[in-house]
Amino acid sequence: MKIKDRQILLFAIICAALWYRAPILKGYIIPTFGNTMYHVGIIRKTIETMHYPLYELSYGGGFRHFYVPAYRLLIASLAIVSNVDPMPLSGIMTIAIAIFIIMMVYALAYRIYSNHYVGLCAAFFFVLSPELTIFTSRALPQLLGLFMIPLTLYFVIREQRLLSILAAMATALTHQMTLLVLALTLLAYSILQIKDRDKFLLAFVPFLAACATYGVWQLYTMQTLNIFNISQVKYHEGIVVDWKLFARAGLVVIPFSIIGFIRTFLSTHVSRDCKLLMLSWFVVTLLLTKNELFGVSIFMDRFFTFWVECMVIFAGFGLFYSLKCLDEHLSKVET
Amino acid sequence: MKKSWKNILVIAIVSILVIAGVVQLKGVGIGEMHIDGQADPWLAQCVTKGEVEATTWITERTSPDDRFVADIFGGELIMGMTTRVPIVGGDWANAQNATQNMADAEKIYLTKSPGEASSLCKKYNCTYVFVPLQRQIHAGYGWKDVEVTKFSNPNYFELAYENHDVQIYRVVY
Repeated sequence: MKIKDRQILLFAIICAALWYRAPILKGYIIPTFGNTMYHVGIIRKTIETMHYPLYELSYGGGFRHFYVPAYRLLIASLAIVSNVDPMPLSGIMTIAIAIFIIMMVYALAYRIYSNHYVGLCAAFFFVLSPELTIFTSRALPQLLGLFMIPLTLYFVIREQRLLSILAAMATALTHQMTLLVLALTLLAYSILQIKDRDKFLLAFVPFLAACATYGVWQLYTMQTLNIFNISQVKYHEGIVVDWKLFARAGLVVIPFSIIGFIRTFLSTHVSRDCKLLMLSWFVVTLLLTKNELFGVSIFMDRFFTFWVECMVIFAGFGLFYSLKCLDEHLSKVET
Repeated sequence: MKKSWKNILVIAIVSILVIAGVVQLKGVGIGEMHIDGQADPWLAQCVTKGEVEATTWITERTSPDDRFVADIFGGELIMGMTTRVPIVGGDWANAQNATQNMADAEKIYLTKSPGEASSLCKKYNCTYVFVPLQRQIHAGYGWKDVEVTKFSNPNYFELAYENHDVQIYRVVY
């Protein structure tokens, strides 16, 4: 087997991501910002009782769970199989899942633009984005969510109907905010494809499957479908994404994502389906990020992460396009 | 232009992007000039090594039914390492009075009155108070200094465990 340049470059990008995340395992405990140890607690309780707890340990305990179980059950299962304590295992899995996300972003960008180097550029920007680095360096369910979204969209692009339904259902049990991003993206895409029955159903069925899966889970845990009484909604948890926070997308990511966004929709090489899917993802995450403009004001900063994930794919194409233009321009220069 | 020159140009462009990206991620300090990194602070551990060590004592010497007064980071550490229940920390989605818990937890740490701290502990049926010594506490309303002296009053609290970073007091009922 001949190792190609692009494989070496992808390996180098992954090594850079590993280098940045290696300190997670050096400390006496994993990074604790963002409730990471709370999730370890539920994982530990699951391992101790061999049963996913229905009642909380948080805030005095004794009340029903809101969280979905996929991430915790994944870590708990691996802890049982490997006999490694869930605290260090959460750190190890954070690094592993982060690498999978980078590879998934590479694969999705490649599939959308039919070019390996666009995938490489997207992976490159992923590693340089502070926002994506922050949310792929801590042991949180959103980490798995950041993998599930590009995975599900990849299956949709590949027209893998069963796999896209299964991925959407798994996403529903991974992280509520991820579910909202995915469900609205699939819904927007299916509406944009409404004239083509097959393509409409390709996204609409996973959308329904995700919603139904989450609904059943919430009825099981909270015994209601109403989420308007939870504290996050009641107290409007979230931070407005101002220019300062927006810069966390990556000062090198932002200009190339603008170039990539514009060029994607002007390009004749990108299929209409891919354009519509990327447009759906971009618009949905943008609207969710700025939801305070519609009076919602919930988790704006958390939805922003998913917007940035979409932005790095555009940025990948933006960098590739810029370098290609430069190459063509320099080729005309006589030596 | 020769291909080798074009390759050098591409490498130069990518190198500039890498340097700019790494500076934004990790920050840089040259002489007195310092730019803070945007990602590094989010990888902080917040709790101290001694607090982590104390969780072994909690697991071995307390009952699974014991409830702890702790701040958010201490509470989540206790949950994560021992599955004991703290009065703040974790997911507040369905908690009945999460903001009251936060206010009361902060009051327990900040008040100078051992009687007031004790009665607030008893309001939540807490059996232990987890007192970090080397850091401020955050119970939901910002980082604050702990008023430690009151916990020395034997009428209300008794020292159950201590190391350089933390003291754990049993609430006297």
